[in-house]
Order: sequence, then C-alpha cells, then structure tokens
Amino acid sequence: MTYSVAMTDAVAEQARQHLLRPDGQEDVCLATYTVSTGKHRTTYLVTSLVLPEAGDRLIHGNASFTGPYLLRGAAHAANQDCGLVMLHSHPCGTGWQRLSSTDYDTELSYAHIAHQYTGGPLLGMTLAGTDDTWSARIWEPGETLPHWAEAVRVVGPMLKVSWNDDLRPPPPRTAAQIRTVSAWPAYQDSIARLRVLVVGVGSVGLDVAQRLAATGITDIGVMDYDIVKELNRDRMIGATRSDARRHRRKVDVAYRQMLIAATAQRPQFRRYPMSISTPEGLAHALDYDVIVSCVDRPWPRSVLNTLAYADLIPVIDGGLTLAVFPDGHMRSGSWRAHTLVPGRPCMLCIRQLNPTDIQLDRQGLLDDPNYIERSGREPDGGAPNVAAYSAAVSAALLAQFVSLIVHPGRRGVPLPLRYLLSTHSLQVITETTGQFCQYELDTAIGDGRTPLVLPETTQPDGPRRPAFGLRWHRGGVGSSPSAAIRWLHSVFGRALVGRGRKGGEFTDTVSRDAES
Amino acid sequence: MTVARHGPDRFLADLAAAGVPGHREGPAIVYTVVPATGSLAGDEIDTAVSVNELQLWPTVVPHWLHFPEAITFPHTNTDSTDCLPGWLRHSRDVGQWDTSAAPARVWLAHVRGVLGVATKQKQE
Repeated sequence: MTYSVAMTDAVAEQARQHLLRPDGQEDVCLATYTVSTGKHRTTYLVTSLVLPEAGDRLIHGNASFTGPYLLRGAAHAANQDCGLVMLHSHPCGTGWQRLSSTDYDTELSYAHIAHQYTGGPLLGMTLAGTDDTWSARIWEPGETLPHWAEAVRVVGPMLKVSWNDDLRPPPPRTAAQIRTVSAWPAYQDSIARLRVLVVGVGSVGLDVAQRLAATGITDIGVMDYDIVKELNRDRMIGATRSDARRHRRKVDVAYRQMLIAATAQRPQFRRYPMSISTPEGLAHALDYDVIVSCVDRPWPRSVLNTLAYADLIPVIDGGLTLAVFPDGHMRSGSWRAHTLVPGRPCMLCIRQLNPTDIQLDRQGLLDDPNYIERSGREPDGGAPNVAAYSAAVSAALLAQFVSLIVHPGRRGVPLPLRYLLSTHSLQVITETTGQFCQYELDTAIGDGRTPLVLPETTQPDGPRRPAFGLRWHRGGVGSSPSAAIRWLHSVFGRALVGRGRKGGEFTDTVSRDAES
Repeated sequence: MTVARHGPDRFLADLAAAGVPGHREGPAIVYTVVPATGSLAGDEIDTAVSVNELQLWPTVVPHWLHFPEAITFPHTNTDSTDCLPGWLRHSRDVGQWDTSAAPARVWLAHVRGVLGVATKQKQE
C-alpha cells in the first residue's frame, strides 16, 4: 500500500496564507481529513482547516500547539467523522521536508490522542515556504515511525503535485524526449511521475494513451471491458485486421501501441479489462492522479464525475457528435472538452449528464431492446463517428491535460469548451456550478461518495456480461505469454522481463535497455 | 438526528423540506402533488416513486413515475414493477437537471409537468 494526500486549491491557499507569516516565523494549524481507498493507494483528503484562536499556539521563531487546541481540533474532527491533520511551516524550506527531532517528538506524542478521538491515524504535513512544496506522513497508532506519503496533490484548475523523491523519484530523461523536455523543462520530472488512467480506449482513448506514452509518462493505465471488432477499425488507429479477427481486448491493443510509442526508459503500463462502474474498476481508478474519460455511456461518466470531486482526481472528459440530414449531407459536427476539478463545473451542471439516463443505464434498460422500442428512444450505440474528425477530440482532451499539468501562461484548464464544425467556431460554455449540485457538494468526501458502482455479477449490462466472461480466455496481446514476451524471454532471460496479473490487472514492465 | 447523505430517507427529508410530506408504503414512497396546468390543475394527485430507484438520490434521480391506474396519459410506456396494487409506473425522462434549485423542488416540478397532459378516468 502506498499513501498520498490531496486537497483543493482553496484549502491549500487558506493554509498557505495562515502558515507563511509576514514576520517569517513558523506557524501551525490543524485540519480534518477523509480517506479515499484505492486498490494499492490510500489517499488522505484534507477537507477543512481548524484555525487557532488566541492562545491556541505559541510562536517563538518555531511554533508549537497547545494541548487545548489539539483537543479542540481532535473533537471537531471526530464530530465530522474525519481524521486529524497537524500542519506546520518551514518558511525557509525548499522541496519535500523531512522531520526535525522536534517535529518528530511533537507528532509522535500527539498521534495517540488523534487516534483515540477520531479512530484514524494522525496526518502530519509541512509546507516549505520557498517553493510551496507540501510534504506529508501518516502516524499509525502504536508505531514510532511514520509512513511517508509519496505525493501531495493540490487540485484545482491547475494541478500542482509535491513529490517525495525518495519514494517516487523522477524517471531518467531519455534521448527520445529532448524536444518534449525543451517545451517544459521545469515540469517534465513531475509529468513523467504522474499516474494517468485512460478510461475507454476506442477511437479517442487509444490515441490519447499513445500520446501520453510518447510524452514520457511512466505509469499509464488503460481500462476498457470491450473487444476490438471490425467496425471499430475505421477509428481505432493502430488496431489491425488481426486484432478484430482475434477479438483482442481493446486494452491489449492499447497496451501494445503504448509500448511502441513509449519514450520512458522503464514504462510501467497497466491494463484493466473491466468497467469503471464496478467496485474493482473504481478501486483501480482511485490509484491514479489524473483520469482521461473517453467513454460515452451515462453511468460510467457519472462514476467519473463523482470521483473527480469526491476523491480529488481530475477527470478530463469530452466527446463528439455528428449529425446528418435525411438527404445524406452532413448537417453539423461538434466536440466538447472539459476538465472536472473543484473550481470548474461538473458534467451535470454543464448538461453533459442526464440523471435519469444514469438510472436507466444502471438498470440495464439502455441495452434492453424491448424497453428501447416501447419508449421510442434511439438505441445508444452506432452514432456516426469518423477518424478524420475524432482526432480533434483527442487533441482537445490532450490540450486540457497540458493546461492542467503545465499551466501555460500560469493559467490552468479553461472553462468547458465546445467547437462547432460548420462555422469553425470555438465557444466557451458559461454554465456554472449549481448551488445544489450534489457532486460538487460532496467534494473531498472520499469513501463516503455516492455508491454508484455495482458488482460485476449483478450488473444488468445485457450483452456485456457474458462476453466479458469469455474474454479472459481469448488469445490476445495480453495472453500469457505473448509471442513478443516469449521472444524477449528467449533472448534476454526472464529476469529482465517482469510480468504478472493480479485480480484482472495486468502489469508489465519492459526494460527499455533490454529492448535496445 | 442527521439526515442521510443519499437514499430514500434523504428523499423523504427533501420532500418534507419542500412542504410535501411523503411516506413509505411497501416498495414505494407515496406523496401528493397538485398540478398547475391541464385537466387535473388544482386537484390533489397521489404519486409515488420506487424505493429501489431512490437509493442514490439526489445524485441519481428516479426515471419511473408511479400513478394510480385511473391517471392516464395520451402516450406512455408502463409496467407495474415496484408498484402498489392498482398503480402503474410510467417511463418519463426528467431531461436536463437544474442544479441551481433544491433537488426536491426540481423533482416536484417534473412530476407536476408530467401531469399537465394527464387525465383522470372516473372510477366505476
């Protein structure tokens, strides 16, 4: 299990304003946290500050908590069903901060009180004043050494990540990345360390995944329960006739294409042949720092809409529509792209989700021919789509990704965008967050999120379910072992090629040195 | 007492806050609305939603509206799943959801709007 911490940019800025004093002295404060539990990562979400009142802390160059302040904060956290965070600043610090002996003694001595009041471990955090780097550690009860977080995410229109270089060092830059690095020399080490998940690897997702791999990102996951069919080949650039004939999983094709495009020295790509709408799919998604949503069904999009706010994982979403006149002429085309983060409206607020469609999709009725016929609805699949235009959506999503991570001009992601093909006009969608939007009211709620997922066995997915069961046994890139892996084994031996599968997750690590 | 974050109890609490008391009855939550337009304008009409469809309220809203069989619509798609005896549920799309108003108010406006084209058959 690894650990990380996340908070909204609003909470981070409030903490920064308090902790970095004009007189240059250290300061302290308390906060509350909730938990977001992924498959292999636990993320502590800082929800709100409990600022000190007069006499609650002592400022003497350093700063210290008083007992009554700590008890007040712990009681407040317990009442909110939250855990307790102790924050302090190192005004002259740069980068990820270690614990001084005083810091260690303070946090260790208060850890048991926090646990007694809240039932959860104490979270300790330090803000380095020189470059606004956050560091964090978790004090489990009864232990004398903390578990260090590997990263702290500050989430808003600009994603800012503080990295623990000991646990997650920057991957080495390669000769293939020279032009990429020259575009953002200050950011490549952070970009390359991000864990990015692409949900849905059809026409748009497959393109996005390959370009993320070419950008040098080491950890990319692809999630899709579907297989490649012949009618996909006009849009899935990279999928072959053989892939369609062999009914290969889309994640296997994406994995193969990502490896071809990868510029990282040691890519660690993962495949998840499952739906994001299952507990397993959701748990894997919670291990990631950024998610690109390339799905069009309302139910999975609502799951992604939820975790963007509840779990503070930015979700970049978009799609296209093409309309045709009865006489066969093209009527119009459009694409949309939007990033779901606190500070930007969710998909319900910008009318990209219909709540009753979510209900119907979850009940399996959007796949039920009888219901479709009786209700007079149009079938959900089979909408017009062409490769010559879907690349525009990939580009729009990737531009959102760059804005989110690199902040060109010190700006983050824009407001939601819509492009109209007939007039070649780009529109900014001005709809804003609704006061009663439940998705955004649940910001940083973590595991308390609305339970939208359903176990695989009970999913009323119509034709998906039996097909999904069969796909485990199909010959594919991921079948064990593939021809490529067998060849690598024969040439370099098994030690250089690690491969394994745990509960539907395929993980492959291919040494670039070995390949060359 | 704290109100559940989501689910049928949250729906009941939201209805009550909107001035429309409801109650659980078998597989459904029953309440009363007064349409503003149409042939039923001004009448008190009993309506219900399935408890099953309310598990994720207000993040996900029900699709099916339940009415006594005497309430009829010119075009409708019905069945009796989760319905009380003598009731039918009607498939109705809520359309775009207004997040700037309280969920129960948006929901009640939807139900009243649906009833705008309904008629009530006389009981034998």
